This record gives sequence, structure tokens and C-alpha cells, in this order.
Amino acid sequence: MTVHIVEDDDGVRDALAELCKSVGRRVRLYPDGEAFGAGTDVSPSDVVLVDLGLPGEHGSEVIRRIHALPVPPRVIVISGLPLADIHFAMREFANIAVMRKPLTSDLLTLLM
Amino acid sequence: MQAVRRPTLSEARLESVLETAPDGIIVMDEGSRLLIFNKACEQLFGYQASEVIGENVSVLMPREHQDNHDLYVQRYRATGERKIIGIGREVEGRRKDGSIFPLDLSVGEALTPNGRQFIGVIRDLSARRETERRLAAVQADLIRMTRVSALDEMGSALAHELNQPLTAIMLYLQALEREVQRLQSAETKLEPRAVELLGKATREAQRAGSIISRVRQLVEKRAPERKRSDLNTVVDEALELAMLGRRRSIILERHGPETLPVVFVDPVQVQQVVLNLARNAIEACHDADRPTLTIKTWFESDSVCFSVSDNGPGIAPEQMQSLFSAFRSENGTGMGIGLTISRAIVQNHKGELLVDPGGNGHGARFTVRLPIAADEKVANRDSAAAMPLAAAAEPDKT
Repeated sequence: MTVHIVEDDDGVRDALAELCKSVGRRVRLYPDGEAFGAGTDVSPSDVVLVDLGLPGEHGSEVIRRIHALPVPPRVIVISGLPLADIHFAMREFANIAVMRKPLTSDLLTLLM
Repeated sequence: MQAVRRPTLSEARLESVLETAPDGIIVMDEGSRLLIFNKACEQLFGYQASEVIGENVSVLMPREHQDNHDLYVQRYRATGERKIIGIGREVEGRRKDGSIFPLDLSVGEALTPNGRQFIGVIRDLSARRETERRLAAVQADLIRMTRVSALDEMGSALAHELNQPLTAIMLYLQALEREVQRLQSAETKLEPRAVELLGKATREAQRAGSIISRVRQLVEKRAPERKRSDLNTVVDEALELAMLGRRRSIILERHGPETLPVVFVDPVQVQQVVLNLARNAIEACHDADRPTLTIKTWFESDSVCFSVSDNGPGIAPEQMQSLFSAFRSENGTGMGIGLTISRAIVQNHKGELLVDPGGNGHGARFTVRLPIAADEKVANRDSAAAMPLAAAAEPDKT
């Protein structure tokens, strides 16, 4: 299982990667939605961490593409946006875990 | 005793003037005794004329002025120095029930066969004062709210900026903790002091995180109160505030149809936008020849719009770059924050704020578009926003 991390902030992206590696996960890193592309490299057993507030393409666009895959992998949203904006961006998606920055709860339990 | 006689023509005229005058009129003699107390005065002070005719005029004054009034009159008679006669001023009156009210008093003087007489014309200022007080209160409210939103804006921007590194720190610490656990189980004994320090660092990072969460909750609590509103009314009320005390220095041009489609907005927030834009415009055309603020309202296919423009120099290209940045420091007027808030408010209403910088003899023009209220759509969106996050590990609630 690979964890795909779509996050524009260098520090957060690297820290997420280190944490995932510390529990033995492979990681692939993307600074924005465009770099993530169509998500064709993602296998159904993978996990995709998506930041909502991405430069350029919005995080919800990335999620929409992932959901269009034949067997979509699990998506976890991370966001520092105000709650109202998160609700608005996530209004069309059901059953997606959202973690707000700063991540005070244990991300690892979600990754296991 | 004088025999009852028919009033002369001039007496009849005077009588009718006194009866119909909208202002209070009193006449007193040199000894401050009331000779005339007209109908309007009866309404103003609550006394019948018969109750006060012959009394000292000081019954109409607050107690603290009563004793001095006779002195004022004496001093005038001795020196001829006019402090109020022919000048007029705002003073306080006392009603029969003891209540005090502001009034505008003009005093004239007449030399009559019966000696010197003083005529006072009294205009009640309580209504005007009340309006002024109310307007000042509303404006103070708006200014306070603008400041609060500026703080909100800064608070959330700051929280967001700090969030990123803090998130990274907490994740690194989690990873490090993981690493330490692995080492411990591999019986490569780690210095206990290092474990202890790591625990402390984690706790402190979490503390910082919860502070940021709290700041954010504070900001998010203030939800807009939207209702069906007429944009013309919203704009005009805000303009009234913006123009307060400036009617003489700024020309206001207002264009637009009398009726507009209804918008679904928080009127106070939209007024904040109008006020912000109008203030910026007034400031911008300060040095113009005939400074003019032009406000238009109109509607197009699915939106209701208003624009605020001035006849100032326009916005310089280098200023346009950072026009909306909240933390711009080179402009001490705080225009950046005002515009940032304005744009945030407009976007919150699913509208847009457009800027035409002007220049070359044209002032800047800011245009705001707000979607026409479509009640069904609005209801749907609100229920979507109220939907709880699905299966979320909501850190703020733990």
C-alpha cells in the first residue's frame, strides 16, 4: 500500500511523508493536483491524502477525479480552511474522512 | 382693573401668529417675568400658559441655571454685553415633569412703552439629537464591526499561516515518537531524558495547536445573518453613514432604478462593504476638483449590482498588485484590510467584487455583484452547509 500525498506546503508534505515512512508505508509526493494527474498510478488499495486548499486546481477537483476511477482508493482530506469552506467544498462527497490542520488527533490510526 | 375690550387689529394678528407658530415663543420683561407663552410652548414644556404667565422664566430652566439667570439679565442691563441676544445658542429646557431637553434658543430685544422686553424663539432639538445619537451609534457599531472583522481576518490568516509549520512539527514528532518506540522495543536503550523531552515537545506542540483551533472557532462562530433584502435600501442606509458630516465637502451622485430584485444577504455585512468602498472613494477624491462620489445600482440577468466610483486619480498600477492583501503595510490607511474584508464578505455571499483602477483622468470604480435570491437554491445550500462531515476524525471535538 502506497500513500499518495497531494500537499503544497513543503514542510507539511515532508512531515506527512516521514510519518508514513515511520510506519513502513511507501509514499509518493505531489505538490499540487496537476502533478497528481489523473490518478492512474494509484491502485485501489492505496490511500490518497489530499489538501483542499491547493494552488491552481482545488483539492475537491482531485477528489472528483479519484472518485471517477473504476475502483477508487480511499481518500483522506486534510485542510486548514475554515469549517464552512470545508463543508462547502465537501458537500458532494460522502464518507470521506476530513482532518483539520493542525492535526491534533492521530493520523496513523486512519492510515492503518 | 382694565375693562375687557376687543383686541386691536395688531393684537389679533399677534395672537394668531403666536397660536400658529410651530416654534415656541416667549416674551419676558426686564424682571424675567413671563408675559407671553404661546401654544407651541405649552406643548414643549407641558405647562398651560395660565400656569406660567407672570412667573420667572427660570421655571423653564434646569435647576442649575435657575439661580444664575437673573444675574445674566442684570449683567446685560449693566454692561450691554450680549451673550445670547441676536446670537442664539443651544441650551437646555426643563419640562413641567422635570425632564430636561435640548433646545435652540434665539433671543431678541424690544424697547416698549412698558420698558425693555425680551422675546425668545424656542425650537425643540430632542428629535434631531435623537437622530444624531442614533446615527452616531449605528456608525460606531459599524466601525466596531469593521474592526472586529479586521481582527477576525487577521486572526484567521495568522492561524492559517501558523497552522502549516505547526502541522509539520506535530507530524515530525509523531514520526519521531514512532521511531523511539521501535528503538525501545529493539532494546537499543534510548536515553530516558531524550524520551522525556520528546514527550514534552509533543505536548507543547499540541497546546499550540489547540490555541489555533480556539482562535479559529472564535472566528467561525460569527455566522452571517442573511435575509431577503432590498439592495437599494441597504446601499442608501450605508451611504447615509458614509456621508455623515461630509455633505458639504463631497458631492453624492446616486443612480439606479427604484426597484431591484430581492437579494438574500446579511444587510449589515453588505453595508460594511458599501461603507468601506465609499470611504475609500471619498478619501481618493479628496483633492479632486468638485470631489464626487458616484453610486449606481442595477440588475442584470441573475445578479443585482452596485458600483462605487470617485473622480480621484485612480489606483496606480503598482498599488493594484497588493490591493487586496490584508497585511500590506505601506498604506497606513488600512485600505488593504478593508478591501480584503469586503471581498471576503462578497465572496461569502457567492458574489464578486471587481475593480476598475481608472487612471488617465478617471477615478477608480469598484463593482459588487450579488446573486438574485433564489429561495429554493438558498435553502438547499444552507442544508448542505449544515451537514456534518462524514466519518471525520474531528480533532477540535476531541
